[in-house]
Amino acid sequence: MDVLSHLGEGFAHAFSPLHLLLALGGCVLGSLVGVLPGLGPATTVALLLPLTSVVDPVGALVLFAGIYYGGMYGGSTTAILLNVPGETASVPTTLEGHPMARAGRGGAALATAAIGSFVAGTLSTLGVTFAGPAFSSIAEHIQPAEYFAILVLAFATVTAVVADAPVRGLCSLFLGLAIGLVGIDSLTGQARYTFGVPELFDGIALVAIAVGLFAIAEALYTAARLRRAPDPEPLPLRGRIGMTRQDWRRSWKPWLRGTALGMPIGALPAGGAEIPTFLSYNLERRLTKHPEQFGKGAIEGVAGPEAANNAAFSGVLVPLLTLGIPTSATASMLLIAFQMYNVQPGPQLFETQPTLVWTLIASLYIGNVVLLLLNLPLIPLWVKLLKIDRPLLTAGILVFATLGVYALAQNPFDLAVALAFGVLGFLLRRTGYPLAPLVLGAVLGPMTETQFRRALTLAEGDWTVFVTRPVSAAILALAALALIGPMLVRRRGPSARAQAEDSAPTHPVNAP
Amino acid sequence: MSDQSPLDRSPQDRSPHGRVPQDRTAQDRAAQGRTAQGRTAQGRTAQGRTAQDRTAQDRTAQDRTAQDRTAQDRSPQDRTAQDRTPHDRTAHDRVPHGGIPHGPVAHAPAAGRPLAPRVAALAFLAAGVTILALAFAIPTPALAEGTDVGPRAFPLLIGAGLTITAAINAVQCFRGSDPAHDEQAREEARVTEWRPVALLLVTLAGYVLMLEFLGYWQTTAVLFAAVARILGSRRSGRDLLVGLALALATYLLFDQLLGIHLPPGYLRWDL
Repeated sequence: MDVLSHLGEGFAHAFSPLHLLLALGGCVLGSLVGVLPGLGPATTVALLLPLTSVVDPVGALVLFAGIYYGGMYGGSTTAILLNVPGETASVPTTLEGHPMARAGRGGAALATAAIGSFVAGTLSTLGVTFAGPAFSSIAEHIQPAEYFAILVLAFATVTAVVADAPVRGLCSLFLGLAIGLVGIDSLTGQARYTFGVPELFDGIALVAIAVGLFAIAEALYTAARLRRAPDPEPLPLRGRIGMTRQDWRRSWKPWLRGTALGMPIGALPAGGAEIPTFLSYNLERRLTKHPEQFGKGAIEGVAGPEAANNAAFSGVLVPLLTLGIPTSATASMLLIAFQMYNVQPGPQLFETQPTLVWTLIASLYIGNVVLLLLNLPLIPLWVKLLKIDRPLLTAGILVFATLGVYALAQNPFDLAVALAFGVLGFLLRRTGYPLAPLVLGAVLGPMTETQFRRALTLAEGDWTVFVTRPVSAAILALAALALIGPMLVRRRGPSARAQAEDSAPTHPVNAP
Repeated sequence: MSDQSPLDRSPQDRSPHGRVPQDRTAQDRAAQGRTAQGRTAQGRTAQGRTAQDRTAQDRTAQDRTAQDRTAQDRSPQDRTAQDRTPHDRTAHDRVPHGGIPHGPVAHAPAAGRPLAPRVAALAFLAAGVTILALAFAIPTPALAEGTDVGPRAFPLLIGAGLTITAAINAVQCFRGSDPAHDEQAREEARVTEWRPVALLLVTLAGYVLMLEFLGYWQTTAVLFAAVARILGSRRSGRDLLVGLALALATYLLFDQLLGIHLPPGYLRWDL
């Protein structure tokens, strides 16, 4: 079996002492930062992106895989004990997990989240192992027109999912795409939107954008609501961390169902983690034998969504690795990490960088085990972490944010850019414009333009190529449906509207 | 002055806009009171809208989702604040903080509707028009390779896209067809304090300007202490020490060990 031998090689690389250490470090670092309130996985990865300048590509991606998963595990702790979802996908966890913690069952909630994440993470990594190469060989045959259509579909679904007002989401998206235009056009060498500033010729540094939009904007937002909002008090953890027999009996099916929902939806180039998580929550609510507990701390409502969330997170790697399309803010950060090494994920990645890809996948398995072993015993420590003085915490975040951005090019210009994006992110968040489409637009803009122009070149300048090729037309129609559908449903009538709202997530902090 | 006065009520609250009557009551109540109860009432109406197979248990979860969305609550602290009982919040409201007026006065502009959404919508429209205009100014090289559409086509597309969506958005904002959005903006306006934000920005800008001149660990220690103070820490001596330790540790790690150059400063207080 080809896949297995590749995977074996990946494990051989991943088991080198350095990479094991990096995987461990990534997991600890990821959970540590992920636990901190206000820091979701996207911000966690954004803050730690500068580490790419320190380690080799394979090592860095092993590290980031750890951070990626660690941020997720850590996020569930914050959701359960603080009632703060680090990102949209952990909203269901707060709905059931926090009431459980209030009822003194926080230990069981944390355990089912951690073990469920492990089960889902491992199963879905297995999925990535086999689906990745398969997708990759399909992706090789995708023509520019279809590629462009797929990108449009990814934009449309991300915008539709995160925004309760798609028009505002679209505004963010187009602004992000415009930001991606800044710099020298790669095909003609023409400078665009650089205003003669040489620092802008290479485009705006994506790390500066990410750190600004997430970390600095978060600090400004904290400052703005300073006296209005008291520090969140983490619930004391009563009882032991672990599950009773009954908890196990009620958890294992939701774990598997969550995985079954999360992995395939995450793997679509239009998925993301929000939809499967909310689907899983609704599914468990429907299937449960204890409907009276829902909303008051039903363990199924933690087990299912957490599993779906983690499974989707691994699923998201499929379009990321095979098409170079991230479908969540966190995946965008991973794409930036790839690009910092001049590695462009895409159909060729599995052939040109087999060591990198397979070591990454192997380290996902390792990361899941490490996190399971690490997370449960360390929960008391995380709880202590939640009690850190908020002003010191924010100050520390800003120190690391500025350090990371400065370290990029050792130039204060990037810091100024990050600061500007901090202000932009703060203002957008205050006025209800989602940030995820903006980040996605800025990250994917250049690739979208390349595919767009290639398609037109192949069609000899015929602009109708996108709608006359059947596959491209179908994908674009889907994209339009994803955007317009929810609007129509909302307009229809009260009951349809409420149902749409049912699945429309709130926007928590970092992956709005 | 008071939100309770019908004059102050936002126009869209009175206009039908496809809302059922009892909906509007809840909407108004939430707009007026902004108390936890008000918000819950709204949540419950959103609930009532489904009028389907909701069980009583669902409602709690549902309410919270609706609440969260209404308050556009993303900040951890605020979430807790919301989670508290109405009593807590009221007590909180009663205490004026730092003499900054809030409550009804602070957030009730003449039109009775928050300005922020409309300003943001216009800013997006302006950005769209600017991007579009600048796209027209991009020179297309005479020697375009093959049949490439050139560097101008995609920017034109993006500029046009932004202009069109921003225009639709602006029309919606000025019509007030999204009351929830206005309510979010009102809530933001109510809780926002600009002074710490401005101070934080000045501090960060100062840091960016002084970093290379004064040196990494020196400025970073000050940054840490200053940010902590702005955000309400009152133990500046301790903060400065923590900041210094953190700055020196990162300096040693990055500059000395990892070889990522960090500015030592022109004053050369080398380690």
